[in-house]
Amino acid sequence: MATLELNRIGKVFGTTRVLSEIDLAVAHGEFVILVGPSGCGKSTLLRIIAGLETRHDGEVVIGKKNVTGLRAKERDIAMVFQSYALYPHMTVARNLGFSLRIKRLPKPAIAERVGRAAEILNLTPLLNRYPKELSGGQRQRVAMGRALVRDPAIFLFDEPLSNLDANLRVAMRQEISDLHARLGSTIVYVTHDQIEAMTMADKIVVMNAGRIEQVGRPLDLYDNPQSRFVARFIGAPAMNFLAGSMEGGAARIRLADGAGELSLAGRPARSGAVEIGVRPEHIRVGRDLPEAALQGIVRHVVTTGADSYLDLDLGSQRLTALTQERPDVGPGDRVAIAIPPSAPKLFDTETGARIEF
Amino acid sequence: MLDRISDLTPKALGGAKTLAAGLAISLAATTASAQDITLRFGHLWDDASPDGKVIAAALDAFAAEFPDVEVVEEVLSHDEYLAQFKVSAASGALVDVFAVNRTDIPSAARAGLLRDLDGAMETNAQWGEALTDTLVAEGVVDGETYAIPAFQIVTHVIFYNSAMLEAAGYESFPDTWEGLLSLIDALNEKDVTPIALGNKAAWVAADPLFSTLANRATGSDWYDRLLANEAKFTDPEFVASLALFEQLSDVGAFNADANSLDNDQQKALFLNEEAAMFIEGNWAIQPIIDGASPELLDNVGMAIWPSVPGGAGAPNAVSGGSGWLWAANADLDGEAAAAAEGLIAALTGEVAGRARLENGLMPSSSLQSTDGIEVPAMLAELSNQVGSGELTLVPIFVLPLPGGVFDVLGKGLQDLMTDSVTPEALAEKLQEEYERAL
Amino acid sequence: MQAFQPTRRSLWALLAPSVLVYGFIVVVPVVVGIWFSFHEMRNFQMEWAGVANYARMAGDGDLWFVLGNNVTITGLAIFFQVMPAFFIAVLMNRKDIWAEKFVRTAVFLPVVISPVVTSFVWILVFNLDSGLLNSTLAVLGLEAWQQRWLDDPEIVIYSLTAVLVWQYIGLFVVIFLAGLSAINPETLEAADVDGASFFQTAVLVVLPQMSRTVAVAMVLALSGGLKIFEHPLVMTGGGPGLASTVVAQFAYDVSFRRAQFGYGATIAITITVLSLVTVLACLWIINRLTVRSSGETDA
Ligand SMILES: Nc1ncnc2c1ncn2[C@@H]1O[C@H](COP(=O)(O)OP(=O)(O)OP(=O)(O)O)[C@@H](O)[C@H]1O
Ligand SMILES: [Mg+2]
Repeated sequence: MATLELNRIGKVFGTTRVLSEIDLAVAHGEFVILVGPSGCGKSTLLRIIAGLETRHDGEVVIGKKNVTGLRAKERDIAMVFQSYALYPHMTVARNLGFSLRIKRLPKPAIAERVGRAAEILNLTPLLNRYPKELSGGQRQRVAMGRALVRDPAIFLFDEPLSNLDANLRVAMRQEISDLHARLGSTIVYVTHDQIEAMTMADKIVVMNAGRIEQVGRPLDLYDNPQSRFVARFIGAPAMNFLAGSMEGGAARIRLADGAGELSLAGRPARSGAVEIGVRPEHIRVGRDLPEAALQGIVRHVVTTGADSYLDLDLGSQRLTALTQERPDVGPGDRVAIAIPPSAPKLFDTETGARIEF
Repeated sequence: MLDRISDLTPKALGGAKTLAAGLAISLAATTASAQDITLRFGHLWDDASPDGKVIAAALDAFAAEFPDVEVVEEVLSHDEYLAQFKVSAASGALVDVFAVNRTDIPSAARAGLLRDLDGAMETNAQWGEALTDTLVAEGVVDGETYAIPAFQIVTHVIFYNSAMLEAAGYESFPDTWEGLLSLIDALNEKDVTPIALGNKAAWVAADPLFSTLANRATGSDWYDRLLANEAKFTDPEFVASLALFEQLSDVGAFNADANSLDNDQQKALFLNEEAAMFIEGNWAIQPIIDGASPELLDNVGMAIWPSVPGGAGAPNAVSGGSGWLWAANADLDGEAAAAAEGLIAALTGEVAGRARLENGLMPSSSLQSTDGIEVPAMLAELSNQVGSGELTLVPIFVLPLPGGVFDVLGKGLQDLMTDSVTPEALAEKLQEEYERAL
Repeated sequence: MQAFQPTRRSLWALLAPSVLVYGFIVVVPVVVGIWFSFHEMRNFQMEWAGVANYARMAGDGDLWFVLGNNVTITGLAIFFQVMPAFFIAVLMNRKDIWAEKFVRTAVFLPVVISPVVTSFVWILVFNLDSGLLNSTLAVLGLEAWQQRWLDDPEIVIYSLTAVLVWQYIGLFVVIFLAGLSAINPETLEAADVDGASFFQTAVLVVLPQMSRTVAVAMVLALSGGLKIFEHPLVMTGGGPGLASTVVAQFAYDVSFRRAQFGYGATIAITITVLSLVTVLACLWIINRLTVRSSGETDA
């Protein structure tokens, strides 16, 4: 187990800049998840950490050792590739045991570790198959297993669960969390999956277009997004954004097209146009709410059982509300909408930066 | 097909008519007399070579005499020609007039591939009688003449650098075998290659060196009996000749890379004065004259193998003869046959003979006049010695023998030089190969 | 639109040209060769010889000796040419090291030069007194290592092999590079992550994924080894003696120098059969070894 430090990492492919000025510190035993839209450079960053991409700016420090320029095999990392990268000519068992064979572990020790990993990953019946005889999900588990049999300084996972069905995914998530708890391994993990990120990570890194937008604990990011990008990216269903404007020093904010006013728990110093972010679960909707300051019309109602989503028209703007109560309203109904003063997050319309108050 | 003919355009019909006319003409050409005769003429000397120049002169003379005959030359390199000849002979596709190797004459004549030329020699008596009798004999099979010698060659001349010999303590070329061996020792002591040898293609050792050497040891009588299958390669006199060759190699007569150089390179070693001698035929005279510095040219001497201990051969015998002869396809008749005979006569007649001398070569016939020809002194000397009987010509060893014997001997002599075979074992191999063809 | 449905007759009409070409190029020479092998030429006529040629071949020490030369050259070529070419290709494939076009060109260039030209160049290298090799050794003070590269019957075969390796190694590098481009590069990265060294990656990960390419290379090396002709012919004429004669030149000499067309054809036919059998056996073994795991796509 080891710490990981990235200092001002930059990467250019030909003429396209893919990463710029990435600084990141991962503590010993920390579980860090990288999220960001497709193409933002997550895999590239992972490959740089692994030593598969050796020509880049900045430095990579693992433990106390600056490993910049070292090849992957000299870095003691395990990696699960986004596209599995299984050895097609080896059985599942041999794929799993390859790194151990290279380390010249005795055969019984290899068999034992392979067997354990296979059990965790439900691969035992498949041990003698070749990769081309496996389904996508099975292959992905083999790729996981290849990392799990090892005891590396750092685990790197590149979307390891993306091809699994929902049940298996939940089970695997648990498996990885347990593994992390048991071994205390340092993990850098890439995913697209919100839930994965929120449930597993000690720390989430949100990336956008080759830069880090924000680093923080899952709930910090959720509650305190430092930019419109992070606010929009974290949380499902996504945060609502409304256009509005305000006067400096006032504790209230006017929505665009005169759809109404929101009150705030503080008094922002800024004035002029802003963007107002409100999480769906903070919006209360009813036929008649005493505290309601806004009026809207219901477009759709979707109920998944525990949760109900209400799609609302607020003047010309749209809004989604989430509630655990069964709504007694239907499409076309005129409803009252209440937003508590502590709920809205304000962002600069131009830069997307958070406006504190 | 028939009903389609009506579709043919007048133009196409015209084409068909011309085609038919052409067919008729070519039919006529092969059967009876006609204005135009084409002779296909195959040989192996390109325009740039001295022999090629002789052929060009002969063709001019022929054209003057037979203006209606068109000669189409088909020239190949030496090895290609030999192979091509055998293939076309075997498949009955020989051209009309061609060069034929001495080795192939008996089988080709007996297979009925060659035209009997005795008639031609009688008709054109002036030409026929000028030809050198000993050379003409090479083309005679069972009493009939099937090929006319293209030229005369002497395939064994030791060219030596008299200055180097003097430096090694020799005023003249040694006239005994022991003398030659000690000359070789003396030259080696002076760090001079005694005999430059370029034997990559395996014929230099087998002919210029060995043909005459074998005769020294065996004598001509043994050789005649060998041809008659009354003597064997395994006879002691022949084994002795192989041993002599091996001895030369063992005492260091040759450069160490003798089997990876070619005959141009052996000459170059001599011309660069890195070697005291080299052994080749009369054809090397002109290149020596062209390539040697004036000082070296003054010092070039010519010698032949001295007599060898216990040898039955005459000490003045040198290998030579014609080796290549001109022959005509037996299928020719009528005017085409006459034209072919005329071409052969031109190739070996007065004009060609003069051209040969002018190019440093020896003709296969005596010339009516040599006025105005400047014959190089060395060539004149050699010709005179052969003409006067001072040197007697003996056959080029391998030529009257089957091709397989040549091949085995060429490689076997290389093996002797690397001690990979004993003279006895090589003799047995030669005998085996010889008997295969009997 | 109606699809073109070939009738039996039109099918034959369409196939006829290729069948004819194949017939003339492959079948006719083989049939003629077999016919020749039961005959021998005597006075420029082919006479029936029964199996005499085959019997002669069995006892022909020279033939087996020159065939041994082919085997030596082929064996050495596989060892010093195919194997190094594989590693060179794997090395060149690691884009962070060489992969420069220049290197590829430099390695491949000799392949496209005519064997006759390279042979002449190497004659100069091997020349006893003034050759590059012996002169270099002299400059380095290694006179003891100087050799009669082309004249010593014990050495000449190795000198020839060196030239063949030099000339054709690039071909194998290119073949292996092509094979490499067909395998998933991430498997190489995975091996790197798994801690495998360059050689371990090459042998344990790359090689097994390229079994078909290896098969192609082996077949080329084997058939190339039996087809050698120009290099010895130009450099040594096959000598000294038979020390550097290969079976192709031997058959050529028998046919055209000795005019024993029947025996020459017998040798040629036998060698053809022999090489076919060797190549098929080689393919069979490689196939057996890699039936299920083959990484290259089958379809
Ligand atoms: N070898 C390469 N050459 C050029 N561009 C590349 C290369 N590899 C990646 N890129 C580009 O770099 C950017 C980042 O790619 P990367 O694979 O790191 O994205 P990602 O965040 O992992 O995306 P995804 O979530 O879709 O896997 C992309 O725009 C991609 O097109
Ligand atoms: Mg990715």
